Amino acid sequence: MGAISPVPREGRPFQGQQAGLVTRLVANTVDALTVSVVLLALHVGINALMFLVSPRNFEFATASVLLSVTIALLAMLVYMTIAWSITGRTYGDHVMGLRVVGRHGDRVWPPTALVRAALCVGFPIGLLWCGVSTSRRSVQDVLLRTSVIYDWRPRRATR
Amino acid sequence: MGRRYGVATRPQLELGLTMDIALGILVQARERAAFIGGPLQLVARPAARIVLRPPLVPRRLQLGTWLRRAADRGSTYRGKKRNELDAVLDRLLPALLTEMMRHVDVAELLQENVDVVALAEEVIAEIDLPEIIRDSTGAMASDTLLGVRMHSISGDDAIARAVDRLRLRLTRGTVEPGAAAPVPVPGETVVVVSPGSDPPPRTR
Repeated sequence: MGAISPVPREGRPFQGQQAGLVTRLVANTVDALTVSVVLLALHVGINALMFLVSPRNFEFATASVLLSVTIALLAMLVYMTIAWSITGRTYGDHVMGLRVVGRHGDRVWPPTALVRAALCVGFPIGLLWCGVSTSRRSVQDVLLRTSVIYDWRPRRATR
Repeated sequence: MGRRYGVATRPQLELGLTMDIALGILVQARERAAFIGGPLQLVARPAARIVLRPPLVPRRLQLGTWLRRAADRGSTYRGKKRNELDAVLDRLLPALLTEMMRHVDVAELLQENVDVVALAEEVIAEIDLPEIIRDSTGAMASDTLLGVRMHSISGDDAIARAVDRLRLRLTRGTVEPGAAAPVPVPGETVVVVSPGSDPPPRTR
């Protein structure tokens, strides 16, 4: 007698399989949007705070493009590292039902997660390799021996 | 789970056969009775009417009236006794069952004789509980998400198939130069251009 699966019937055959390019691209787009929205909210919040502190001398704070991009990439790096090392999934992965796992399908350790996040942020085009690779692995996955699998379960399977 | 549902056992088959035979005999007897009884009814019905309602006898003294009264009395008595029996059973059965339950541990009995967990899992699996939960909690969001995920999985597979086809084509081209025959895919038109042949007509 098998355990009761919380996964819808349609998705059950794909669970545990390597995720492909389309799903991963959508997940990454969701992540990028999430970080952008959070950073934008922070920017607006900081400006609102400055306005409340000193309304007379208030000027809307702006940052250079280089600084903005650097902050955004750093935020992505931290966000991905924390998410992958704790739950194995970012918000985008959660939406698309993906999970990043280690070589044996286990948890990704924080140093690996950090390097993977750095590679993803610094060399995002490496993701496209998973569309060509027979094992559906991106350049980051090949280098770090990680995998991205379909996993629609809310929690990681206990091993 | 070694249980099999819906499969008749040998005693059940024998019982069914016996019932079929009995039913067949009854139907045949009814047909015979109807065959014989038809003409008899023509005679018996007027005779019974004369016996029950004889002419020139006051209605209250007729046998039919007497039988009707007896039937009414019997019916009233039967209703009254049934009510009394119901009242007695209403009082007696709960007390009896309570007394029985005091001596029998039903939970233990069930645990000993029924695999409750397996049964529950079977029932939950059969009714697809996750589906019901999804239906009851945010069905719209869940359905949308399911659709997006399934579409992207289809996209993943489509890309993988396309890359596989391309790889196969390239491999064949490497192994057998000049003899590459593209694998026709259902629903896809393949135009083969061999060296030296005329270019395909351009359609606009």
